[in-house]
Amino acid sequence: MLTIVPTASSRKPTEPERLQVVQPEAVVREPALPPQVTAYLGERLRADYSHLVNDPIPDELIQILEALDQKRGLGHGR
Amino acid sequence: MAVELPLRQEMLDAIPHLRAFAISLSGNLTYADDLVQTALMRGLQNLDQFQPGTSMQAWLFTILRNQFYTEMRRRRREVEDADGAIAGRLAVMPEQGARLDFGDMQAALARLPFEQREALLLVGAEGVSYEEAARICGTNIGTIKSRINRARARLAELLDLSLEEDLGPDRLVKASLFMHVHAIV
Repeated sequence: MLTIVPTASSRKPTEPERLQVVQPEAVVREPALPPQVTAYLGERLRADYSHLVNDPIPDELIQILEALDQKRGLGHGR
Repeated sequence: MAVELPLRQEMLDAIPHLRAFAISLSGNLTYADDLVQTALMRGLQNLDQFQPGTSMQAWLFTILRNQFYTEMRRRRREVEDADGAIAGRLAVMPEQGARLDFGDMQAALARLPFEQREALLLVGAEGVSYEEAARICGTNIGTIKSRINRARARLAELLDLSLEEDLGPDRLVKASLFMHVHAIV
């Protein structure tokens, strides 16, 4: 059974309140990286990630959408 | 009700991104595909909760991410019950399945705490806004920014990137130790 599925919209009303809450993690002194290091990390991250995004998708994952389409279609027809 | 075509297309378009996120987050290809599969099925089952006009991808990311943390907590609990707390810390991830071997960046990512890893992946790799990342992770923008800063700092350290530019405390300590030792000798 599904218990936790927050939707983007269901969170929206509490967001303004949340933003004003004290942010303990943000108060901690942040280490400052040289901009070229940050830029380099960003490039490496995006390169690795786009490699993964462009990986062929396993058929099983696409079939989930198709299988459920059919099941729902039949149920609706009755 | 059959899934409407545009929504179905949006789900389909989200799959490569869900998969890249799940792989980078878990570091385990087999487990990542399980996560994506479950997220898609839950998304379909709960499609009536999806707000049209909002991002389908962000919605599915939220489902997948919550699923991941729920399973992590459950797995940790099970292992702790069986073998005690130390084993629990060691065996958080599923054992089976292909591990990622992409090199030093993935290895360094895998050493970040999950919360830092997901924030960095969402904003730095996937390119979602701080605001959207905060919604997906159930936190606020300040926390997301802080996690990303710490993630970057740790990655730079793990990848040995900041040696030339950064004279941090460690280097200063080493430098003064070096001088001290030489003064004695």
